[in-house]
Formats: sequence, structure tokens, C-alpha cells
Amino acid sequence: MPREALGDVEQFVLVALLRLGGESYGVPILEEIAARTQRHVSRPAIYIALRRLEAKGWLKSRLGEATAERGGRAKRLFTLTKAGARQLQRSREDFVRMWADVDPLLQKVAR
Amino acid sequence: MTPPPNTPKQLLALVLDPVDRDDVIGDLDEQYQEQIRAHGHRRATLWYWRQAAQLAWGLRRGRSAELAATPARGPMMSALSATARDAARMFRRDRAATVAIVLSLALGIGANIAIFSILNSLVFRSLPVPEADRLVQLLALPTRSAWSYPQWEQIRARPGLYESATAWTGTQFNLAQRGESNFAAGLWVSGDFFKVFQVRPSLGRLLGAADDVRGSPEAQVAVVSHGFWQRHFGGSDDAIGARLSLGRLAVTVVGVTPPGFFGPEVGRSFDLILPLSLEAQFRGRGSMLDQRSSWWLSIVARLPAGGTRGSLEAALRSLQPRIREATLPPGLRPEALAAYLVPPITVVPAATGSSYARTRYREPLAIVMAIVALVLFIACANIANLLLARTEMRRHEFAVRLALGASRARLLRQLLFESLILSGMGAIAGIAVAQWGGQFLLQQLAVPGDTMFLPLPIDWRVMAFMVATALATALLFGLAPALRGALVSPSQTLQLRSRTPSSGGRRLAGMLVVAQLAVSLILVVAAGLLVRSFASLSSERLGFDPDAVLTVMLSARPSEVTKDPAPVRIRRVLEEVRAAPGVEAAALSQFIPTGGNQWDNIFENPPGLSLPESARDVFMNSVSPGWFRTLGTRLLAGRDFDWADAAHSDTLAVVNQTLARTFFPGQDPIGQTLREIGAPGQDMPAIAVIGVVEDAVYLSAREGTPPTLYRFSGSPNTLMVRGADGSSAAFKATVAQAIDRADRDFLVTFNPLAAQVRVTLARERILAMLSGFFGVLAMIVAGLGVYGVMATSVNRRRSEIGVRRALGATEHNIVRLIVGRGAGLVGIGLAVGAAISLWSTTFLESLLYGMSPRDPATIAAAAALLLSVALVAIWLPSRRAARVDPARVLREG
Repeated sequence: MPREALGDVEQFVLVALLRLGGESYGVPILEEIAARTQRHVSRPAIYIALRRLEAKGWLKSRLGEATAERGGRAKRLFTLTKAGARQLQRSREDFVRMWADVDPLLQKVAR
Repeated sequence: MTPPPNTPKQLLALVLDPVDRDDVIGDLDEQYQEQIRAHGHRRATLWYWRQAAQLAWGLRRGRSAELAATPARGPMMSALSATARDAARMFRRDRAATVAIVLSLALGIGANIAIFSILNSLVFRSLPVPEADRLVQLLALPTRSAWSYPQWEQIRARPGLYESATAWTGTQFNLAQRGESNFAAGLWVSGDFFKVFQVRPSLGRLLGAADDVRGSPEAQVAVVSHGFWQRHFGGSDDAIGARLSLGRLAVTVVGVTPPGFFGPEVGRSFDLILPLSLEAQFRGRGSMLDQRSSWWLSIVARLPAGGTRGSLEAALRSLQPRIREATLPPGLRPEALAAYLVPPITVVPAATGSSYARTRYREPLAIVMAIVALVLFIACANIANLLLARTEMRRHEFAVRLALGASRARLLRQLLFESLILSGMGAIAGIAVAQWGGQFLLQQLAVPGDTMFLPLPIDWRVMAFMVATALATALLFGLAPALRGALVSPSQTLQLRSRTPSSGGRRLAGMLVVAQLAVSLILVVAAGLLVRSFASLSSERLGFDPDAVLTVMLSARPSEVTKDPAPVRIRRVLEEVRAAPGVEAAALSQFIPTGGNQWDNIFENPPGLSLPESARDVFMNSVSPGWFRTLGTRLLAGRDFDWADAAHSDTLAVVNQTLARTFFPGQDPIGQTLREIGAPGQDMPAIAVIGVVEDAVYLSAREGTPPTLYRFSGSPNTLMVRGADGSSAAFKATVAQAIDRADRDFLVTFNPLAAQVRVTLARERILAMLSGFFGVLAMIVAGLGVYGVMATSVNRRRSEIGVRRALGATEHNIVRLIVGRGAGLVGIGLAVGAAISLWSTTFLESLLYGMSPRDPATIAAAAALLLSVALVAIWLPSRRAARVDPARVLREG
């Protein structure tokens, strides 16, 4: 049975979450991705990715505190699950295998 | 800290799934603060709007894609049934208000459906025959639909132009052999009539080309309608082959038409259909078949498959010279000749049939339609206010539900759904109201001797209208309250635990009151104008006194008793009636005033004057001596006819004031002469004026009085009888007996003259009646609306009023306070209404009589009337407010 693969926005979200110490919520995740990548990832795409990852069991979430500047609305704090971490690992290995030894070729074409 | 813009936030909250909502909006708000710090307030707000829009769009789509992937939840169904459950609970809790709303909607929507279904049947609906859109009507001239029989023969002789064509005209057949007439509605039709309309018999056979052959003895046949078959033959098969005597004719019934077929004219039905060729035998020497100047037939054709109206018209126009040359009426003056040859034959669509009632009632019905739509609008404003007040009371409930996780979308859906159920129930009940109301209205449109026959089926157009009306009303009264309910802010409402609503609700209610008053003022002004028009028309001087006059149409049958010619027999009848008890006066004339018949001709210019032709168009009637006295028309100068005048009847005339003034200004009209313009080469005699009578109405009060000339005739066939109780049944019986004594072979038709006069005002009467009724209704409904809003507002301000009272405000002060605000709203509403009235009533112009559509007195009176109703509606709740007991209010907190 073919494994379900991660889309790249989903990968970004999961990696951002790791960088943020394993548990975080929307705003830092958005900011982390915006700061690290050069591309514009739309806000709804991030939220859709978060919901999907959660639905597949690769993330889990709980409600956090509500601050005044959030208009009294609670944060939703996401954590990576074991399954999610394994999935991320597999994705990374797939990529690494695909990328092995192609850099010189890419540079030749791009030049 | 600056709160983010509220509107995009509310909208976003409305769109988002509750699961998404809190963290997404929270994140957005949090970043908004950073945006303000980095870019300032203005750009941050812009950013917020953009992000909210992106989220609303993007997340909605993401969600629906997700839902499509997992259909097991069936969210639509569960949401719908939950909504229905909530609505049912709501209605049960507030049963009285629900019943009141549904009832008022049933009446309002029902009135709209009733008027629309009449308009639909009269104007929009196709004739109930196959492929009605292939029917066209041929008009002899662009402005004249009727043809002469010789012209019809020319059309009939060119069958290549159309699939089939037929000429027809309406008539009345008298079924009675003697005594009082018993009329049946008849049609003369040419052979292919049933081919054109593609009607199949429900019994026997219908007419065909073989039945329409002049002089053929087999042609003495007739077809009867389904209704006549039921009434006259009891629906028996023996009807086929039965003989019917119609005056000179005796016809054999050969078939029955199907129940749905009412003939080619919308608004009328028929009892008998006879072949056109029989008209020659029926009328004898008076037959119009060979008369080239009698235009009396309508022609309808069925286009060939694929043929167009335009190509038929072009073909007919190319044949026009030959058709017209071949049918030239004799002795036309040169200008009349050009008027006969030149105007082109015209072809118009006839899918909806022809209709006299349509021309007559389309405009009044459109106006009544607008009136009932506006009344429904006013009622909707009331319901909106009622629901708004209910929403304000349920704010707490909504806040709790939102706080517990219900989505705003679901709240909005539920509130709108409640409105939709209310309007749906109203519309369904409205159908019943419409059935009854439509029939009632049709009865009002009918006039004696011309009943209105108009089936009012509930077809797809009526259904669509009903659904559209229900949806529109639901939105009209439901949207504002629903939005206010769904946009309740849970934190505020729950924190404050306050029952005092935001100012937005009050503002909305105020606006509704203003709109209501404006619209009702428009309606009251329109009603005022129409009622006053009718009043001034019906009080217009007629120039005769119709109340005690009975008119009797006499038609002589060839008598077996006496071989005397008809004039002698009619004179005998007149003498006998004059001698009858209770008869004050009796006389004969050719036409009944206001009877709808018209005989006019152009007269030569009097010496020394050059009047335009229109001023020389003189209306005429033939009368016997004593006619003016019988009618109550005063003789102003000279003398009436006497029987001795019979010898030179062609050269004597009595004229009315208008004629005397026009033709003989500043002169004594008695002894003057005037001359009719005759045909070329025809020498018309000079007519000497022997008397002048007061102006009397000829066609109707609205038409005014034309120059009128009365000529002598000893035996025209309409008898006018004046008696003390001229309109009573007993008087009618007396007259009938007298006629019977004189001559047993007369057919007679009785009609009180007053009833005839009323017929000419039928249109004005029904408009005045309906607009008056709905005007009063609008006023009451608007008054209730003002009262409701004021009462709610007083209730809300109870504690404030209590405090004011405790601080020393008098009852008078409180009344002033409340009345002040209400009167402001009323003032604005009436001002807006008056302004719109000035513009909108011009649509009524053609239906008004004797006043301008901007009649200031009517507008002022209507405004004063509405103002007093509104002030009462304000004053009542303000009185109650003033009686608030401060101690109690303050104790209650």
C-alpha cells in the first residue's frame, strides 16, 4: 500500500513546529515560515494544513490561554505526535534520496 | 490597544465553521496589533480586511472540499432538521403572535395573488388551444381590427398565405319566442373556425367549411358550448339533433365543444356558435354579408409551421391593393377613398386572444396590483417591527447559544428560516383568500348584460408569483431582525446582562415607521383621488333624470296575428303603455342615452363660420314626441316635436345647448338651418331647428356632452317609460302586461335607465371601491405599526421614565417627551410620502376626472387624516408611560 505523502506546506508547518520547540500556535508558525522561506504561503493554506495534519493524527491540539490582544479568544496549541514525527522523517528520507548526487547536474542546467 | 475593525470580524465569524473560529480570529487579532505597531493604524486595518477576506474565502473552500470527501455526516440535513425543530419550538412559545402574523400575511399575499391571477388570465395567459403561439390576428387598418364580409372573402380566397383562417363576431341570440327576452351569447364563425383553434368536439361534430355555404339548406346547424349543453339540455346525448329556434332561424344542434374552450375572446364566453353564412337568413334584409361599409368581423389565422407573422404581413400588404380595390364601398369621397386604400393591413400576435375586458381593465388592474403590493409592504414593516422586538427580547438566548458554540451562520439560518416558514404558511393560506377574492372581484367587474367570464386557474405563473411573493416578504420582514439576532455580541450581552438593546434596533424600528407612513400616505392620496373622481363623475349633471325611467327594447317578430308593418305595431304598444296605471310618460327613441351606441356625422359649416371638423361632429338620436319630458330633459326654447311633424321628419330637429352655441353663436337658434355632409353627389336636406334642450350626456359622464341633434321618428324601437316607481318589479310587470295587450308578438328586454348609467361608471366605481378599501386598510395597519413601535419603546424606557418622575417630571412632561420623538418620525414619514405622491399619482392621471393628480386639497386632507391616526397611536402609549409609578419601577431596579 502506498504511503500517504506530505505536501510541502504540510512539511513546512511540521518543521516550523519542531523549530518552535514542539508545541506552538498559529501566529508563531506563520511567522516562522514567513521568516525562513522566500515564498508567500497564504494564511488559509496554513490553517487548512494544520486541520488536515490533525485529522490524520500527525498533530494534536489543545486550547491554550486567551489574551486581551486576541480579543479574548483562546489559542490552539499544536504538538507533533509520534506518528507525525515518523511521517516527517520518511518524507525527509524520500527527499534526500531523490536529491542525492543531483546538485552538479542542477547547477549545470541552471547555468 | 486598538480593537480590530468590527465588520470584517463579524462577517468572518459568520462564515467560519465554529471549530475554526476562535483560534483563527484570535491569531488574526494578535497579529493585527503587530501590524499597527509596524505600519500604523490605517494600513493595519486594510491588512485586516484583506486577511479576513482571504480566510473567509480560502477556509470555506477548504472546508467544503473536506466535507465533500466525507459525506457520511450529512451536515445539510442535520442542520435543516435542527433549524426546523428550533422554529417549531419558537412558534409554539409565541402562538398568538405567530397566528396574527400568518393571518395578516395570508390576507396580504392573498390579495396580491388574487389581483395577479386576474391579470394573468386577462393579459398573460395563452388561449387554451394547441400551439396558441401560432395564432395571429389580422387588422384591416393599423388602428382598426374589424373587417367587412367582402374583405373577408378576399382573404379566404388566398389559402396559400396561412395554414387556416377564420372570421368571427360576437352576437346575441334570443331564445324566447315571445314575452321577455332570454339571451344567449352567440358567435358567427366562418367554416374553418375550429380548424384554426384546433378544438375537438366533446360530443357530436363541430362546424366545418361545408356548413358555411351561403344559401345551402344543410347549413342550418349550430354547435353549443359545454356549459350551455349542461344548462339547457341537462348534459343529455339527446342534445344532438335537437332544434333551437332563434328568431327567424331554426337550427339543429350538431355538436358540443369541450369544457375548457371559451372561444376567441378572453373575458367572455359563448353559448351557441353558428355558421357565418346563416347571418343572411337570420337578419334578412338587414344582413351585413354584402355590405361593403360594415366592418364587423375579426379575422384570426393560424401560421403555417415555420411561418412568421412578418412574412404573412408582407404577403398581405403586397396583395392589399387588389383586396381593397375589389371591396371598395360605394360613393366614397376622395379623402375617404385614400383613407380606405392607403393604411396597411397589419398582423399582430393573437396567442392570448382578443379581449375587450383587457383593454378596459388592464390599467385599473395594474394600479390595484401596485396598491395591494404596497399594502403588503406596510404589513411587512409591521411584522418586521414585531420580530425585531422579539429578537431584542431573545438577545440573551442568542448570546448563550453563541457562547456555547452555535455558529452565527446557524443562528442567521434559523431566524431566516422562521420568517420563511411564516411567509410560506401565509402564502398557502393566501391561495385560499385569492380564490375567494378573485371571484369576488370578477363579480364586481361584471356589468348587467355583460357578465365577465374568466377562469382563474393556478398555473405556473401564479405559482411562481406566489413563491416569489413569499420569498420577497420573508426577506422584507425577516432579514433585518435575523441579522440583528445573529450579530449579537455574546461577551457584551452576557457581561452586561442588560435587557436594554443597542440604539441600532431603535433606529431600524424608526426607519420602518417612516417608510410605513410614507407608503400609506401614497395609498391614501391615491384612494382619495380615485374616490373623489368617482364621486364627481356620479354627481355630474346628466341632463336627464334616470331614476324613475324603465327602458324597454322591443323587437318585433313577424306576426301571425297581424300583418301590420312594425311601425304601426310599435305605435300601438306606445299608446297602450301610456294608458297603463302608474305610467307618467312614455316615448320612443332609437338609442338609450349612455347605452353605448353612437350615431354621429360631420355637418357643413354654418354660414360665416369655419369650424374645425371635430367641432362639427354632431351626435344624433331619433326620438318620438314627448321623449324629452319622459327623460326629464328640460326644453329651453322653441317646442318639442309633435305627431304632425311626421310628414317632414327629415327637415326638423331639436338641438342641445352645445350645438346651438357652437353653430349659432350669439344668435337665436330657432329657425336656423344646418346641413349634414352627404356622400358625393348626394344632396342632403336643410334641417331647421325647432327647439333647444339642455345638454344631456350621450355616451357617459366622462365623455362630456357633444353637440347633439335629435330628429323626429315615430317608431324607433326603444321604449322609455317613466313612472313613480319606475325601477320596481311591479312597474315592470305593469308595462309588460300593457305591451302584451297591444301586441303578443314582441320580444322585450327591460333595463332600468339608472342601471345603464351605473354601467358607464363601473370602472371608476370598482377602482374607487378597491382603492378606498385598501387605503383605509393601509391607514389602520400603519397606525398599528406606529402604536407597536411606540409601545415597545415606552416599555424599554420604563426605568428611565421612573427616574424622571422621581426627579420631579410631571405626567405632562413625560407625554411631551414620548410624543416628541414619535411626532418627529411621523413628520418625516408624511413629508417623504407627500413628496413621492406628487410624482407617483401622475400614473393615475388618465383615470381621474375633474382634478389634477397633484390636487393639493386631496394630499393635504390625506396627510391630515394619517397624522391624526398616527398621533392617536403615539398618544395612547405615552399616556401609559406617564402613569408609570416611579416607586415601583425603582424598586424593581
